[in-house]
Amino acid sequence: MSDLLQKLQSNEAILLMYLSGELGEEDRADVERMLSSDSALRTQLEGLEQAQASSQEALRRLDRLAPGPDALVLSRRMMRAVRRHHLERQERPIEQEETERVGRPWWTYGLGTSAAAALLLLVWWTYQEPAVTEYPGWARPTQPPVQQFPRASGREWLEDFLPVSEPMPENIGSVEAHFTALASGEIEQPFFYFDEDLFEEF
Amino acid sequence: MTEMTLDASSRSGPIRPAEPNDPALVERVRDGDLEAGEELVRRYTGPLMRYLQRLVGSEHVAEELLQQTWVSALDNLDRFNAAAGGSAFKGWVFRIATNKANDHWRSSGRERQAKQGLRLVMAEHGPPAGQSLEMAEEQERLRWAIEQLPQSQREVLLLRYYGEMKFVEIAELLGCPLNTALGRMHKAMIKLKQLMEEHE
Repeated sequence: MSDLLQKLQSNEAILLMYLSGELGEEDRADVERMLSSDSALRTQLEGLEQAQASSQEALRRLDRLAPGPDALVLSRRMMRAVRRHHLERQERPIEQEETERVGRPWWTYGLGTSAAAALLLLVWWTYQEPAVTEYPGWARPTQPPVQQFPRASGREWLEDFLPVSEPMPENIGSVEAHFTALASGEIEQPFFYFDEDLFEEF
Repeated sequence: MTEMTLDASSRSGPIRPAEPNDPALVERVRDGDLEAGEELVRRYTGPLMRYLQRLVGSEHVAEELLQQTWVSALDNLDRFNAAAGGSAFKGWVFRIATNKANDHWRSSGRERQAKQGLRLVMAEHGPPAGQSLEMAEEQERLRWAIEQLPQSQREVLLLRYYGEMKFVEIAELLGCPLNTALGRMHKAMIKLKQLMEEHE
């Protein structure tokens, strides 16, 4: 008994190999010896032969009833498909290179990026709150002083933003000097600093 | 003793002795001979189509998978070992076809496949002109019986019948032990016989 026959784990496996003619001469003779002495094995073989004939007949009948497309016509269709595929594959790299060269000049990459950045900046700027200047806590006005200027005089400004009925003249002068400096561009942002003595009055 | 044999005349035509063998044709294709490629396609398109048709249960899908099989086979011909032997090319293209069918099965999903299969049965498998209702019913019964087999058993049965492959080759193609391939074949044959008897 050969290695192959020993490896087969069931009677069905051995008999299927025997039926399909895949056993060597020596193994075939061994199986026939077993069959001649074992009636159960012979019955098993007959059952397998019937099952094989039945499944073979089922497929053959189905092929007759539903033969599918003609093999020759189908072969031609397959060859056309294969040729088309090969042509497409050969043409693909050239098409890609041309698209890159003609469709997208080098400078369009930079231009596109710049345009996108400018648009983002514009959107951001549109939604920005007006800048609020920070003041020392005690001198913080209720509204940004830049919005008061130049409508209000130094007196009016002080009357609006300080809890005093009559601002001191030197403070009015100081505020007005500041307004003048702002108007001439000498300083860019309004910033008022009052002498702490001013608050000692309260 | 009955051996499972192919009726060659019902497939792609008898192969004449003078025709070159597969390894020779493969070598010629590698050298750029397109006609050799056409000969290989002619030689195996019939059996491959029937195999796929019975495996996936739809002529449309089978033809699509067949096309994918040939494109893939001829694209990857460099990977095929022509020195492996006379029937190696046949085993190789059947393996590609089986993989394509499995990919299709996985990607479409069993449920969708079942619904689609039902639609295709209605659309494709209705009785063609000239076919009697009785013949159409028999066709449907046979098709149904084959579709009742689990995929793994159906593969072995169909590879044996349409591919005319040895069990050793089938086991190698499917990447399973020989005993497994034989066990699947045995179960497939018994189940198919039972189904045919029950519905006769």
